[in-house]
Amino acid sequence: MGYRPMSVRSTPALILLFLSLLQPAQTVKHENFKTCSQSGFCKRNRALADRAQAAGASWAAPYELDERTLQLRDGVLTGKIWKTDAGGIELPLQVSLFESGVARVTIDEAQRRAGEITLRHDSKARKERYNEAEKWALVGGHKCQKTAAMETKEGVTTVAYGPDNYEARITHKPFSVQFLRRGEVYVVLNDRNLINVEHWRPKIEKAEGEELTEDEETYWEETFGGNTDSKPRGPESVALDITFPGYDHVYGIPEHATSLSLKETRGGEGNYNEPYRLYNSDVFEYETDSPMTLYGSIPFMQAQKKGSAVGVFWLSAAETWVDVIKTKRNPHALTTEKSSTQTHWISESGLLDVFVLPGPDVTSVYRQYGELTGFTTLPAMFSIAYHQCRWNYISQDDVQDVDRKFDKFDIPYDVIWLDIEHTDGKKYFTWDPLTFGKPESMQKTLAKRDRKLVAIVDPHIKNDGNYAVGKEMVEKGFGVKDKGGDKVYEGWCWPGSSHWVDCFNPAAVDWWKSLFKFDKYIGSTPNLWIWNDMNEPSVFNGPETTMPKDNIHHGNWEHRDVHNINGMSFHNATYEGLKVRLGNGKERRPFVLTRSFFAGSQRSAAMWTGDNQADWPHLQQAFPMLLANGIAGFPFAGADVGGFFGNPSKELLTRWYQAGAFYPFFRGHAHIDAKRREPYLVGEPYVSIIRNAIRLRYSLLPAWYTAFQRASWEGMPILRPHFVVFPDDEAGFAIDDQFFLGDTGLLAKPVVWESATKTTVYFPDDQVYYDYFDFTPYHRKGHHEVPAALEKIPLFMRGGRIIPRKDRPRRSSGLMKYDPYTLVISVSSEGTAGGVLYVDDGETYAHRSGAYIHRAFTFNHGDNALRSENLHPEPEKAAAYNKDMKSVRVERIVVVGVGKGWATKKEVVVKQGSKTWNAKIVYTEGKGGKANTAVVRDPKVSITKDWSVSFM
Amino acid sequence: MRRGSILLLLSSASIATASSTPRGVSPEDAKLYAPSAEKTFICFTNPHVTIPYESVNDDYCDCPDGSDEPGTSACSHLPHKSLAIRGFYCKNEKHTPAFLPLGRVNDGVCDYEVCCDGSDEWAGVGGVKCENRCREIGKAARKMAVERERLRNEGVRKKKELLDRAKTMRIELEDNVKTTRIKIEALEEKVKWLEVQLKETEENERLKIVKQPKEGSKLGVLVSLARERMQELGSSLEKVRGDRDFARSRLGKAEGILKALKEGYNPNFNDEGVKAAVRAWEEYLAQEGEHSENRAEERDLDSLLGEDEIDWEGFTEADTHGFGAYLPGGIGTWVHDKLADFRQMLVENGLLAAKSDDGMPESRALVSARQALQAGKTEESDTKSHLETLLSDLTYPYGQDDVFRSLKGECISSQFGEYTYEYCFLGTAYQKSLKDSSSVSLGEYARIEVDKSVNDASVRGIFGSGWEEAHDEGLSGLSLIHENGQQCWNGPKRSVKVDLYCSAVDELRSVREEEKCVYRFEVGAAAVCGRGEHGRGEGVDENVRDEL
Repeated sequence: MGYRPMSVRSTPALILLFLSLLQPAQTVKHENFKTCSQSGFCKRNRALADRAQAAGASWAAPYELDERTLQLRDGVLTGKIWKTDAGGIELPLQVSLFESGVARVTIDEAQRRAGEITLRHDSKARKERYNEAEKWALVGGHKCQKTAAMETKEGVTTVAYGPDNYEARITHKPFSVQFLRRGEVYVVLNDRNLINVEHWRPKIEKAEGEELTEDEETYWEETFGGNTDSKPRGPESVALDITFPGYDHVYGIPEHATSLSLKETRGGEGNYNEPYRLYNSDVFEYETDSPMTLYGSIPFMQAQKKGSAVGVFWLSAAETWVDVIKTKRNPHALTTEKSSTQTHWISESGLLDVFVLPGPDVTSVYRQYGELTGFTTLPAMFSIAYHQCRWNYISQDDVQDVDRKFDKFDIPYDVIWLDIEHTDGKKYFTWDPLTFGKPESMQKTLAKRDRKLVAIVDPHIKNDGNYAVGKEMVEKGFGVKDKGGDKVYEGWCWPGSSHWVDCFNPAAVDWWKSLFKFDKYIGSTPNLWIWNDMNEPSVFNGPETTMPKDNIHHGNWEHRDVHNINGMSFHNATYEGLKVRLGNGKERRPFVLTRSFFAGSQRSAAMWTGDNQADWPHLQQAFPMLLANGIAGFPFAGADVGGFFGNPSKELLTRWYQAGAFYPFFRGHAHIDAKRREPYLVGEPYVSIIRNAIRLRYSLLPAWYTAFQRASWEGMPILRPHFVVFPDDEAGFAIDDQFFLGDTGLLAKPVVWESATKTTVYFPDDQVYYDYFDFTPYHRKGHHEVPAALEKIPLFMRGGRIIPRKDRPRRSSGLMKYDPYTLVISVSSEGTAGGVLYVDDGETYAHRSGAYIHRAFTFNHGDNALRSENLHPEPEKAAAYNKDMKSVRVERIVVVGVGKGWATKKEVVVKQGSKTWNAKIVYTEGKGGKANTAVVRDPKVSITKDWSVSFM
Repeated sequence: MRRGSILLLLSSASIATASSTPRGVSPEDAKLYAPSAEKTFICFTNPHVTIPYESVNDDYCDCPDGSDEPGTSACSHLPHKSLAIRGFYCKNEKHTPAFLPLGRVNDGVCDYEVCCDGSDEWAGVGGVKCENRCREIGKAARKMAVERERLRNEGVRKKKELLDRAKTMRIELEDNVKTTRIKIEALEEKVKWLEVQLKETEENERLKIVKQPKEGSKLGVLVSLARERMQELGSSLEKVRGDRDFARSRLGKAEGILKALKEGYNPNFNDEGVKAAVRAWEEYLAQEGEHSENRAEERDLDSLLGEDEIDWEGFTEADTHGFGAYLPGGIGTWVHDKLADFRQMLVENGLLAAKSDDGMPESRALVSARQALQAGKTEESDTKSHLETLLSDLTYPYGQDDVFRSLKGECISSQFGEYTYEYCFLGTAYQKSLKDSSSVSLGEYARIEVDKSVNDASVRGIFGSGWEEAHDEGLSGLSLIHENGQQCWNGPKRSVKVDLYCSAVDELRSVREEEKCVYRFEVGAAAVCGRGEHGRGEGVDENVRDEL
């Protein structure tokens, strides 16, 4: 949810007014957001890169590692870097070498660490460089490699570590680091000598007539859009170039409305002219295909070349810009003749702190990143089903009408949402007494069909003396302070004058958590979950629609230092509050949706791509954005189905539901000025097509949940781009409009173009791919034209996988809990298949004590049988849960791609425990080139048990 | 045991029902499930599929039309249009039998709205137990049905009253039209006569004037009076112009402020006050258009206020009645026109009292003849427009048999959320805020629409809603369309579609804003009672198979 569109018209002519009513101007206001050249530190560092480029080989960075200071102890190398061009500035260096093979390089500034600087304007801000980002982003994975060994030779110190022959080769003068695995360089820090640590310096007034240098113009204060940043610490940016030699694709650094494979940013055809920007912002009516900043940021980048993947994680919460260029030039003889990707990372403040993830494959990179920042929390089952939202359902009657209509039209849904208008005057934790006078009874009605309610709670707290929450927050000093550091900051947002809760303050977090208790949040029930919007934070009258950078947070950190973490600090607090509200031992997995996010947000929230628009380009843009989020460790992501702003055509809405059925977070939403578009309103044939799309999502929920479990366990994305599944197939490296769903072998390419009747899908190998719906087989690697009329979702099953489904459509996912399974075996060209199923209660934390089902299914691994085997490492811990689930059976086994010989099979032999029985099998010959299928009729095997179905 | 095993229950269920009608089958369909001699079952619409009889209701879907699983949810995944059965039949003893959609069988929810006997949850999924509540639910429903029947009858009776009243009103109206027509004829005659009278009087007067001798001294007085008057007007004009310029500069400043506000305000800054101001400013601009200064007018004013070009002295000897004729040619006409306009302006703005004269005073006879004619004409046109009104009322869309005629002007209101909605039949619908007591027109009556699809599956949904059936009288399909309400910010002019249902008392049951500024009311009125199709089918809608 976001702003109302208010197109400002400069000509008052009636005709323009009229035209704008028909076609609201929907373009982002570029003038409201900085370009690199309007952001002082970005401009300075880019200019430095230009000077370096111009100087060529004669360029050297004035950063020298002092060999005498080097020490390696327990896997941590420490030393001093001298910045030589400013009379010698001491920059403490720390290189940590972790057991995972990950290396961390941190550069600080000694004088600031010691607090020996003076701040201008009597600022109360901290003097150190911000060093607490790790407190928010990291959860582990930094156990050091105690056996690391160091050797220094001819100005180069080599640290060898790890089981896989890892090396960090540190050149002293100028300082740079090459990371090698088995002798091959995969990442180089300061390859191009663009390193820059802007040290503290006092402001010296220029003598009359003396000109400021171009750099100095932006040292001391910056004004943008009428807001002046007082910059009490002056210039303090950190920047570093990072080269991926031989890696021609880089991905990640969400959130940007751009392609999955990142484009170059230094101009040229098809490239951008601006760096990718990471500065969490409420960008009104954002545009597609742009490096502009958006609501969230994860400074994680993955590089890919044939057969190898590596990553870097740039741990800074400050405004950050990233330039990307690719070059055929190959300065490293060790690599093959491939293009390299060169990146330039520029942050406004804080430590220079970078993690190098050695891979060597995608699975390892995601595990390494997940070990550092945490894995996706396993969501409650309902939260991966369909959500129905609108700004706003205007009353309880409205909510109940929508609820009933879904049932009348036989369309499943799990969650209905309330946007800001449900509150009493935009005071969160309250209900409008006239429209939502009986919230408990509304939630109770929803609960009858196991449906949930989500209400919005934003971080701006209304400045209203009669609002207990606001009053308490200000009295207790839990609000963010203005630049003076004493007064609570006041800005404008939905409620008008507001203050912002400071979740960097542990006491404020405790207080915030307490607000979700049922006796505090009157009208809330255990069936209510929370939506955290506007947490960038969005401040309507602030610079770039956010908070002034010189605002002061808990610990006297400037907002500039923590900005990109602000959103996460808030949704974390909400998550904790929801988790404990039922009291000890009764925790439910909370559901929190956030718009703003950072590295680590995956541990407590789902995200959506904010205020998109009801047009085809935004539908097209959604998958690349969701894929990027997934590879950056935050796969629980979705885009507003239908498009937030504007009115989608029936075709667009229908296609969007077909696409949305493949968003990990699947929610229909609409702006308050948009026409109603609940799926039952569009008329036939659209309603039926949308119903089928939503039902497809529900029938595949077991597969989705299994994919979420894997993400929560080792960081594998849920929507997997081609390069993840086929890392040797370079032809797939830039594909971002088709993807695989978890480990299911399902390859989806939902149609995102208008008036399509067919589309071209790329099959990455010679394995057989079956059309999911009609079993047409495709046998050859390469591009194939496939039918894609409106009712058709191009969806394919890669041969060799077994997909668990639940085919009975219920009103909500909770009502499917005890429904029987259908297993679909897509037989590979070799005649085999395998698959995995994970099941738990879908709402509590009992799975952490072992209450779950984890099965491996194998087909024809030598014996022409389907087997279910237990993957649970401690089966005895699942005993009680298994008892509960014992009656849940497999009702149907569909074998796709069987030989003609199966025509004679009439029965299969089922074995479960000590018992054996027969079940019928029905063979259907595929007509018109379609694959033959065989269906086992009700084998009556339990999902909790080992069993086999023999097709001999 | 917390929950029953479906497997176990299934086997016992098939035993229990082997000899009788299968679970979920209605008595009328029972014969379709009679086991054949071969103990097989043939799918209803797919007769090539034959299955062993024990496969009926074994929780596995064999028939592509779902006919083998009337008592389980096994066939619920089939497309609605493929289903050959109406759903799960609930006996609902002590109440009315009904069909439940198959997907709601054994899902752990007691669907009492359809299956008051709780028979839909026979497997006890998740430990659910649905007791039979038909006794109480049936009782309540019967009570409600009796009451509804009473209300419908009451409605029909009231409708008859409405029709009677409408009939009477129409007869009265038609009589009125007749008498008015006669009156108009008489008035036309009268006006003709008065016109003749006036002409004659005028003739007489003109002769009088021509005969009258010149009276220089009288004219001299008149000219000096005129001159005085002229000067007076001149200085008034100057003052008014000064006032105007001042007002104009103030307006310019104010507009400048608003312009700056509009251009400079932060649209992200969601201040209702600022938004309202910007909106009003845009509306103001759209209405006013560009209002530039008229240079020519200014020049006219300048010259008017400048040197007195009129040779007043010279006129005292002149000899005509018309004052304008004394002025030199073009200027005379110009001054005359300007003065007349200006006076008119002053009069309209309340600065001068209205005066009837433009020249010499007329004789009493002429005045009264003129007045008599004027009065006659006025009466004639008033009567004619009265006839227009009567005739348009006669042909106004009051619906079949003028059923809404007597309702016109009657208003009802109801509170929904933060608004009170007021609806005046065939008049205007209003939304009145409880917060700031502002009132917004949602539209004026335009026409009647008949929508036969109101109860179609594509509009109402595939399945019935027990809740709605229990609570709401069904819509009649007759709607009153109201349009041209207040313009919406960023949207259309407000409009309301008023869907009518039968009710003994006029009432406003629900209000929905279906899309931005497009409202839908459900209004109960006796006028639509007795049209035949009340209420809706129970349980599964008959339209299930007609979907698509």
